[in-house]
Amino acid sequence: MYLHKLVLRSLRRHRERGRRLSILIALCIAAIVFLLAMMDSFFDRYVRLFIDTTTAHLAIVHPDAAELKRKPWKRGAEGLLLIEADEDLLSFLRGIEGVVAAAPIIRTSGEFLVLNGDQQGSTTMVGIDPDDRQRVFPGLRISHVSERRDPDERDVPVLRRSVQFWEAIKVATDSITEGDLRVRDQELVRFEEQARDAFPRYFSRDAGGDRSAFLRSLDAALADPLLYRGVPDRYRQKYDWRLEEAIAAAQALGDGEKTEISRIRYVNKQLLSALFLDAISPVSESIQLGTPMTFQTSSPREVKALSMPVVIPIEFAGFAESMPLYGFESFMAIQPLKNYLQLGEHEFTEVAIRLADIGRIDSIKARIQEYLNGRGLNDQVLDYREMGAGYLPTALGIRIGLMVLVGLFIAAVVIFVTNMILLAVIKRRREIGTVVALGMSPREYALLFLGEIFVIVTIAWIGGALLGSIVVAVFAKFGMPGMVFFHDHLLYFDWSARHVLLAYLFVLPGALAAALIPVSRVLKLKPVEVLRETQ
Amino acid sequence: MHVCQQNFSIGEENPAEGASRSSAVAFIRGHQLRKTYYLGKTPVEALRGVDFAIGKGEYVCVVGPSGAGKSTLLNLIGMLDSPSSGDLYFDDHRITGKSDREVHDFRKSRVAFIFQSFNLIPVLDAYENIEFPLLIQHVGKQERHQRIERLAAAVGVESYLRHKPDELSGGQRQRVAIARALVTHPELVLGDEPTANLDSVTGRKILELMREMNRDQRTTFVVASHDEAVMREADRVIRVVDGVIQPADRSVHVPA
Repeated sequence: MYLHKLVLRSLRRHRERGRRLSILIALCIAAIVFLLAMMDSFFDRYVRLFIDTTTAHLAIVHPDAAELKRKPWKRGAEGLLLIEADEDLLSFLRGIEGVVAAAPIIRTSGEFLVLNGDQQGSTTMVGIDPDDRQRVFPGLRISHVSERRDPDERDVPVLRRSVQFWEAIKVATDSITEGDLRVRDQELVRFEEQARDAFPRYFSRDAGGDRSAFLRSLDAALADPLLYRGVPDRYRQKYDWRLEEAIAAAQALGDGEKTEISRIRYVNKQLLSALFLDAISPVSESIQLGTPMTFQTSSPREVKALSMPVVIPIEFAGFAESMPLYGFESFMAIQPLKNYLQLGEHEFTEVAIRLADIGRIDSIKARIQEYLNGRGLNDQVLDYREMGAGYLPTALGIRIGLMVLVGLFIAAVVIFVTNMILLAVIKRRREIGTVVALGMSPREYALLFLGEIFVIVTIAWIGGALLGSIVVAVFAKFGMPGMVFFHDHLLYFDWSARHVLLAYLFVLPGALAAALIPVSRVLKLKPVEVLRETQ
Repeated sequence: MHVCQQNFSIGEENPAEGASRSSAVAFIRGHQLRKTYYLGKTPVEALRGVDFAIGKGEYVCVVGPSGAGKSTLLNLIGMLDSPSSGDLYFDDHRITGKSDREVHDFRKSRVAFIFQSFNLIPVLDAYENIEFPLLIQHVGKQERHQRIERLAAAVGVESYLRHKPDELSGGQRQRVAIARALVTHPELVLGDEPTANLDSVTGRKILELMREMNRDQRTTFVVASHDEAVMREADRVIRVVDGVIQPADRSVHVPA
């Protein structure tokens, strides 16, 4: 085969063009390696975080459990789907080599409310023995926690929300900041006049135009538990439920002597927000540790529409940080939750199982399923990795987004190659005519182009893979910042030869396919016409 | 006038050369060859049914005014183009009607070209330019080297083998082009105005060289040219006017 010699000579003589194209393709390949590494690292760590903080590796669940279905959001039944987990089962599970922990769990969803009836949010309450909790969910980061056991068995859940997030809310609700103000410039001046007119006690007349002084005046107003008394009558004459509720909440605080200052500031902020709705954004109350609350969930056995909920008095003792953006799970000790739900000794919604090595998940799952079947139980073993993308939409979305980016870089390579070959076909018409006259067939010349692209892509791949690997290695060591899904907002990459190989397998066929379009013009080229042009 | 088979008499024997050295068998024969091009929708008849025959080892010059059909005739003989009608024979084998691939293979092993503007590949040096057709024909490295060395010496470019075309004079480039044409030992060499871009002294040397190759290797040369020196070197002159080969009895002035 002489073509390889011609390919190499052709590349040598079109060195500059080949170098430029190689560099461009190498950069695309580096980007593809980087994106593939980011995609897999993100997905793996996201799934791992999900497993480490939310689901464990395996779970024994009711055969009708939503998680076993293709559309888990379509619940098949009302109430809790309970399974029987006796000591024999738990002993069996804990005796399996490779099982780190097996913990019975009650998982139920509901609302938590402060005692004046304000709804604070929804949560999935996970009842688990506190001793098992960290073994089953080692990824949970607990902070601000006081793990006291309530003598009345009113155990305290740990709200699953990041500390940073909570602190941000707390700060935001304690004062009025620039961010809370909806008005700017002239509107702000008008608002200053309104506020001064309504509450002359807090706003000095000679401070006009000084925004900082105005914000300080607002802050001073927030600290006064009797602020509501100064609301002018003209504001009360027109019914506004927000204002009514805010005044009622402020009145309920009394003179504020026994009230935490942050609560007073929150209520007053709501009051000012109701008075000056166009000027101040309404806010939610921050979640305060130790605040008496209730958790309201449906009765596990009642399926009637108007069934009374089970009301469980709770208070937050701390925070569990798992996925900072998705803090929907709260945790409490399993026994008090069972007591309130009036469940039997062996009744649970699932048994969560954590393994030492995820690589053994299939064999352990099969073994457990065999055990359950042997005992005539219908319960199923769920591998959370198999739940699919329906449970991990963020991971899937990011994966798709990154794949689209990979596709764009492949498209860029295709465009570069098509342009380069098109240009080469135009510039090398005379050469093509000559070599065809010398005995080379157009097909061979077309193969020459494809050979050149093969060599260029391969060289570019070596360079691009090297560059991409270096970037991946940097992010593997230091982490990629700005990834709010993970602790410390850092995503640590994993380098894999598979990504390097995939980059080649993506780019090479794309480049060759791209070259086919202009190369097909070579096949149609009539040497006599080219020679006639160039004589 | 040399006569060999059928219409071999078309064209004029160069009296300066005396008897033709061509063989008695028609090596290339055209029968009623026509070529029509289309300029948009307008047909242009470049060749209007020409008959000719060229003997093996002949040195034939095709003359005629610009646009008369000389290059078209050369392209048809060289199988770079196919006739609109008519037949072309090589050694009595009919070429017209064969597939592109068959024609290509046939041309690759038997025909070579020398171009007016040399058409050397600019980024290859002289050695590589001469080597190029040998690579296409899968000739072994040692054999390639021997042939290149021999031919380079024969055409007088052995000192310039590592020079790129733009480092060579016009004459040197055409010598390299001749070496490239002859290195595969073709049976037929077609030259389209090979001396047109050369000064008269260099052109004469090139003509002598081509003639020498024709004599030494019995390679058939068909050269299209306006150059009277080329005509003088030729065994025979074929005059093409308006797409028709002029009958032999028309006088063609070939100065001595």
